[in-house]
Amino acid sequence: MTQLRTFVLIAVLALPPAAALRAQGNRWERQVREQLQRSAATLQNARAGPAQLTHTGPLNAEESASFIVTLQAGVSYQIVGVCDNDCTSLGLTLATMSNNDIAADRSSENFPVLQVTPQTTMAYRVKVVMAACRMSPCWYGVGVYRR
Amino acid sequence: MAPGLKLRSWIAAAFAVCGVVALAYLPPHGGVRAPALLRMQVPQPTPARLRAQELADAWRTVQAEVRLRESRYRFANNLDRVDSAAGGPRLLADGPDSAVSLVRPVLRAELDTAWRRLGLGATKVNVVVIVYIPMLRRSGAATPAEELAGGASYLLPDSTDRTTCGVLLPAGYWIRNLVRTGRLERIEEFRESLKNSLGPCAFYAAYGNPGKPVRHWLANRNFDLALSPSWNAPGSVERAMFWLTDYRTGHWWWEMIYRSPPSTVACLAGRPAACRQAVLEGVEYGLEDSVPRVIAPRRRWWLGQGLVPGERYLGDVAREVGRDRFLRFWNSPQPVDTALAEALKAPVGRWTERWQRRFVPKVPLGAAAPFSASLLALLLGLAAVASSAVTARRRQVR
Repeated sequence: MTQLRTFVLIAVLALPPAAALRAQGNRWERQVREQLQRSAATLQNARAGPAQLTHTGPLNAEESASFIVTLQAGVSYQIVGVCDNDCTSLGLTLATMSNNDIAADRSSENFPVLQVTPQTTMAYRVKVVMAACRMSPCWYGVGVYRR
Repeated sequence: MAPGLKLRSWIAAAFAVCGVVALAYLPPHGGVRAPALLRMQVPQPTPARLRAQELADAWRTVQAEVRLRESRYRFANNLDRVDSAAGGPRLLADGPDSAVSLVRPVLRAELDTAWRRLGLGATKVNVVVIVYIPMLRRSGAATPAEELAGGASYLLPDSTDRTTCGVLLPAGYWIRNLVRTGRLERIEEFRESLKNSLGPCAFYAAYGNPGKPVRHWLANRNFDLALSPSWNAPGSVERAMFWLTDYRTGHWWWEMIYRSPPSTVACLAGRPAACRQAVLEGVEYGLEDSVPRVIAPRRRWWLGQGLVPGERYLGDVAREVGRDRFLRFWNSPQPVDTALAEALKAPVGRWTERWQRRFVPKVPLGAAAPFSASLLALLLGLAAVASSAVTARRRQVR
């Protein structure tokens, strides 16, 4: 898990951004989209599938946002969170619709990664917490990838 | 001398002295008030007037909110009227086409100048300036009060839109004059006024959305400490003092001073504990998480403000402590007093008292007899002693 996170993190920081993304959104939103694209490229190299879902948006410090994703039973997923350069701490939690946490990463500063293989096919809730942001709002992005 | 005559003369002397004192102190011949010509004519706040002002403020706030929200909707759907320079504030000018085509390029250029002077480029929070240009009336027709009233109003970012701050700019003297004459007069004054009109939105653009403690603190006091983005320019004493003193004589206008809250008056007198209290007014907040989104400063907001000149307080803090320290304060999750003292690297009260002295000299509070009254009392005392001495010399003991 730690090796995978390090691998993706290095790739996210090192790979050049895709030119097509440069024109979209503001500078911070572009940073996040570029990071998501790099993480997708890295995970594809690591035999992960294309992103099943990506979600981006701005959050103030100490705020959170949730979105719903349907995951298949027995399939391994990686859920990757990225954020802009002003963000210093981002948390990611996967929970059932009744708010039982299945996996959480709150200690990876600004690059949380979750690896899960659900037992049941159903809708899950992904919660992003902008734990710390030097200048609000900070843009975040979340990608859900099948392995 | 017969005893009856002597008593009568003493009574007469006492009445004469009372007469002298009355002549000296009772209006209209003198007293502690400044002559009427030099006094600022402030209507006395009767309950009915206070109620009317309260209603007018509430009406202005609602009207500003409606216009700002309408503009936000139109801003998203009517992009042909929105003008944006790269990274600068966006401008939505509305009104008769002939007036808009005249005003928009001028305002666009002046907004960019103001933006550059504030040292701003591309910002996380976008500022949208909305101007309604009214149809000019034929000469002699009265302008409706709602078109003249007040300064700018603000629609601050919230959880439904974290990246847009709206400024509703009234079409005041300069814009009306521009439409009427085609020329912008007193351009430097207009630029300064336009820069100050960006108010809290300039802070949001420069430092992002504030952390929860700062947001609640400022919202509780109607953003009175962040109305002027003054971090790039020192203020002038004259502008802060114009309503506190008579510039011709230098006399304090006590009526105006005592319209301020007690902590403000004590801070003007140089008491650091009172300055701290004046700054931290409104820091308490309960479980209620929401804060008002629309900020509409009252008319004559400078009367009764918490600090003098409070509108530039946070701008001056930002200039003095530098961007990084101010940003830490602005976003801090700590209580405001702790975060502010940390940014200032000094106790809040002492720093604020020093800051206040730059704009307003120390106001002398407490009992202080005027020179003329002291002299008169001394003369009357001397007269009393002298008459007693004379009486005592004439007295014969048999």
